[in-house]
Amino acid sequence: MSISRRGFLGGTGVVAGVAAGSATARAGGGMDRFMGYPDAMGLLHDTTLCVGCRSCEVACAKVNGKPKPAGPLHDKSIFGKMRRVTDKLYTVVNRYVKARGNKPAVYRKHQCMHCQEPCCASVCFVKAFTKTPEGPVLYDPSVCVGCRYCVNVCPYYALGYEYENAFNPTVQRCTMCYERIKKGDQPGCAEACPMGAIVYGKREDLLRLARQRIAKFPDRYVDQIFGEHEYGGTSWLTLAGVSFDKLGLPVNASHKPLPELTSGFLSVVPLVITIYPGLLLGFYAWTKRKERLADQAREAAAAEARAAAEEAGAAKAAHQKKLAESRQKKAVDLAVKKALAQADREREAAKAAAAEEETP
Amino acid sequence: MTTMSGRIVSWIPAYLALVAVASTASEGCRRPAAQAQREVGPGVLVLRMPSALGKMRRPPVEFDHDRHAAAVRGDCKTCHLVDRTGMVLPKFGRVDDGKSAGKLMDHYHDRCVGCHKRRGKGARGCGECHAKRPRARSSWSELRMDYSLHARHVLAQQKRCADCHHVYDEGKRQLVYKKGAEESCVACHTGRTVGRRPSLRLAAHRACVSCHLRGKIAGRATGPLDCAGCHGADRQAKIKRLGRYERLLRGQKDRLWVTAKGGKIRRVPFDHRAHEKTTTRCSTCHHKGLASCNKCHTLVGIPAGGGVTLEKAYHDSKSERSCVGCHRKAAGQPGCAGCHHTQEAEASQGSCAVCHRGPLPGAPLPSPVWAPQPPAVLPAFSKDFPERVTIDILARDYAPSVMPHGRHVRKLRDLAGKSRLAVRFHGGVGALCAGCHHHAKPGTRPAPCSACHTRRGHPTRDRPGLGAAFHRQCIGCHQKMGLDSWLGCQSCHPKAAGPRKRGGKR
Repeated sequence: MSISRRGFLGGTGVVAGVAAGSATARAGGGMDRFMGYPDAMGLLHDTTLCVGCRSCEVACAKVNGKPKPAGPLHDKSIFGKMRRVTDKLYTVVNRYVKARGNKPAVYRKHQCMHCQEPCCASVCFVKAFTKTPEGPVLYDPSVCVGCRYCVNVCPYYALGYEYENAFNPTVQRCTMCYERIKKGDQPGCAEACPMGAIVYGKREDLLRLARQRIAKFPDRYVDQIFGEHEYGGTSWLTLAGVSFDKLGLPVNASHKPLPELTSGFLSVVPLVITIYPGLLLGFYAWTKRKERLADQAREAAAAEARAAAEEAGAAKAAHQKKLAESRQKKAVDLAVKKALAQADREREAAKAAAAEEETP
Repeated sequence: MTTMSGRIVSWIPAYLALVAVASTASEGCRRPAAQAQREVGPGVLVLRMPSALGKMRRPPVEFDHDRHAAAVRGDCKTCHLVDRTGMVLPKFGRVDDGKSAGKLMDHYHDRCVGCHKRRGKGARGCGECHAKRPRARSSWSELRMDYSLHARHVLAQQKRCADCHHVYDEGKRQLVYKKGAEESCVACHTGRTVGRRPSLRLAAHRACVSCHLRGKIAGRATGPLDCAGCHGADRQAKIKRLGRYERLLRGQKDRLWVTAKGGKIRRVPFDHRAHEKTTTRCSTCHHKGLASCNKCHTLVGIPAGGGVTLEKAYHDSKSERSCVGCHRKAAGQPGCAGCHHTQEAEASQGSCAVCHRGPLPGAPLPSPVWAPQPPAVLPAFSKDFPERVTIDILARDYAPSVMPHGRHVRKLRDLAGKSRLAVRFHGGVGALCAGCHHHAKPGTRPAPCSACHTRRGHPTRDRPGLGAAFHRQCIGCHQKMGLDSWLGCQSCHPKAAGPRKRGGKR
């Protein structure tokens, strides 16, 4: 029996598929996702109240010891172009819709959303990211190896990286002011917001508050709280008066946590790593053993054949010899017979001659 | 060898499928831009086979009616049939579609291509008419018969109402004019043809275009005959408007009591005449004919009214036809929205009595009058009603803000005095105060903001802190009133005189 490369890979694929299937089936039973730690804190950004004063940017820089954000605060020209979160700017306010008549401009503050099931944590192979029970997703620079998978995988582009730091660059991002909230303070941005557009509190309370606002002013709000379910939910919640895709957020975001997309596959990886070497070595040993046995058998057969041939040869030779011997004997007998007959005839002839001589 | 080539062949469909998917995906990315660009004029019709006869093998034809009408110098008979009365029939050279797709196709091909050949102009090849084009947006816009346009038709027809208005007489089995029963077209002519009653589209084109055509033949100044003349937004804007026109009378009362059969709440006085002036056409409220609301909308909701109850018909805040919805829309104008944008969607307690101010059902009805409120008279400035208010309770990075209280109140009083709605709904000076001093009893000195809005507030109970409460109130109002006064902190807070002090004066 022989096994082709294709057949072999197909067979192992089935094994891996079964393992992945069982992982998904496990996730599908009962509660299908992590609903967040009870009493976790969060923040609600009401974009209908935000006036784009950028006080939050200033407060954030101050709290985190970062350089003061560019430009004077009353200078609106900074909104001419979209800015993004960097290692020096944990939070950034952008203008998404311009003012028209008595419809004010729409701004949105952007920063790490502190996902309930963060992608950055799911891709990090040194476990530098942790979702804390208080709400924030924390980052441990001491274990970071600088692969920047987290920066690339974030669906909100909310992670900055110290590209200018040549020796010990780290990921830089909003910490939800973990140190401050541990002490019972508000995060810097929420405290600084002059419009009360950023509200800090228990995530559950904030959801209730957001629903209340939508119910009270259905004309003012889009009937959706961004971050309640999107990509499994986030600690930062956003309310808006315009469609979320106008605010640079995915409008039909899946309610499935993004890490779930790869968890089925990744759960198989350890299995593959542990099983494959053994499996492959086993196959190798099996094939080798099979070859060895086949060789042995072949050799034995050859030897046997050789022996048989030899034996047959000997018998034939003996037979030939016997045949030759008998032929020789026959020939000798014949010759003897002939000689005897000759001798008899000669004797007869001599006798006759003798008789003739006697008779004359 | 055979097996190798066989394997490659088996991969070909998969490869082709992949290429197809990739090309559609890239096309999908490009499409929206093209869609946004292409817009066709109001005269462009898309000709396709009636669905009952089957599908077309080639793409439908985009036909520019205005261009063809110009090419035949407005002679409709070149393409259309004309009946005994001289009325142009709407179909293209035929009475009906017939029953055979092939015959209909031949009809179009013979007449269109034949004419193009005879004239030596126009499209010849199949693909020139049956071209595959990206989806287009038509600039077609609905023409509304408003008071002014109606008045111009009345003048042109020398008050012969029967030229347009008719009812179907069952006995005579024909259309007759009935005085006092004039209706809007939509009362009978709906979206589709039912029996012998043509759809609104068909009826309007038959009646309007034929009349305009007769006028043109008689050499009179008449209405447009091309599509864009009625349905082009730019041409609509150029339609001459009359400055003065007669009020349309069809037996409506000037003032009336709004009643509902079986209603238990106090009646609402309604000034029909005053409401007529706030709009440009009857159909703003009378969306399906000129019957009164309670004819189709009853307390329980009946099929004639689409199941919409009378209560909802009057109070649905999302509808622009309902009383509440229309008044809400009016309150969204810049002059009003400053205060009104904080009003919740759900009506507050006690707000029923604002409109339901008449006698209870069954009681004798006085004259239904809704008199304007007396103009708001501002009290003299005093400690309780200050000219200026210095807000220094939170001054930290900036000097205290001096709010010209008197100027604000005067501005609100003037704005409210100019609005016909406000003079009937705002009860004196108290309503003006309530715009900012919410929850305060009108006419009394309100509690200071800091009484409820503490320094940190109760954010999760939606009661903002004092700073946020001030900023929301001031900036929110300025934004909604269209005042671009949010120029930065210093437009309200002058810079502190000395060096900045953190956590300074409180």
